Amino acid sequence: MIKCISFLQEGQIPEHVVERLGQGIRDIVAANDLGEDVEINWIIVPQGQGWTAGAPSTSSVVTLTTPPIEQSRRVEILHALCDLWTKHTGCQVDEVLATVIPAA
Amino acid sequence: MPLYLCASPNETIAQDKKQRISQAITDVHCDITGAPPEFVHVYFFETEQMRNLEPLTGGASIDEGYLLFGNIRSGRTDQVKLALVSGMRQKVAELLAVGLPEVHMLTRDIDAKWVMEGGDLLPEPGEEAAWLEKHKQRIAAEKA
Repeated sequence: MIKCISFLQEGQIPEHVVERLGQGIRDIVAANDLGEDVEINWIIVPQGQGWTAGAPSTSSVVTLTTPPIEQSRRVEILHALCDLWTKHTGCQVDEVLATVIPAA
Repeated sequence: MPLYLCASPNETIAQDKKQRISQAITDVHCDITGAPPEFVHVYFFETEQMRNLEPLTGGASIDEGYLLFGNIRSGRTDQVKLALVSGMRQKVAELLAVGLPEVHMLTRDIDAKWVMEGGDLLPEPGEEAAWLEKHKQRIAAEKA
């Protein structure tokens, strides 16, 4: 199973967009032959709890845990995640932190 | 990256302290590593909520006190990591007016090549200046 954990700042992304992000993550996983079993854990960071550079954060953090993969494929997945966020949420590319890590 | 998670027992960190704690953590990180502050993220959670963050923390948890958990780029020396940990624990303990033993801290190494921020793979430690310059030029070109 592919696990995804994503931090979203409270009130920043509407529920229907979160659903699109979830489907987008599943599509990215499937397109990269990582299977169809994806568990997504959405963590809402309440207002006043998320900070970037000492100021209220507007950043999303998305972390995908996968089997070991080639770096070239990892880079494609990372770009796809960033594009997914900027396309559907309207955020700037500097507001997305994406990580693809190999499962321990 | 880095992403620092601060876990505290329920409602024990006053809201007005969170900005100061996040600034202190950011300052310590940047002063020691030379990394730019715009990439330093600090998120606060109740201790109970940390259980949902196991993919990031490896299951780290505490029964009492406060826990700082830092996902930082790999390649930092043990000396740098020790300085980060001791510096942040000290500052957080001061701001919370608690004893140092009540503030626990762990770090986890994340390879730079696993991470994309601002549309670019992160630089290896020590290569931030050149990366930041190139990154800013790319963003400016895209906006033009």
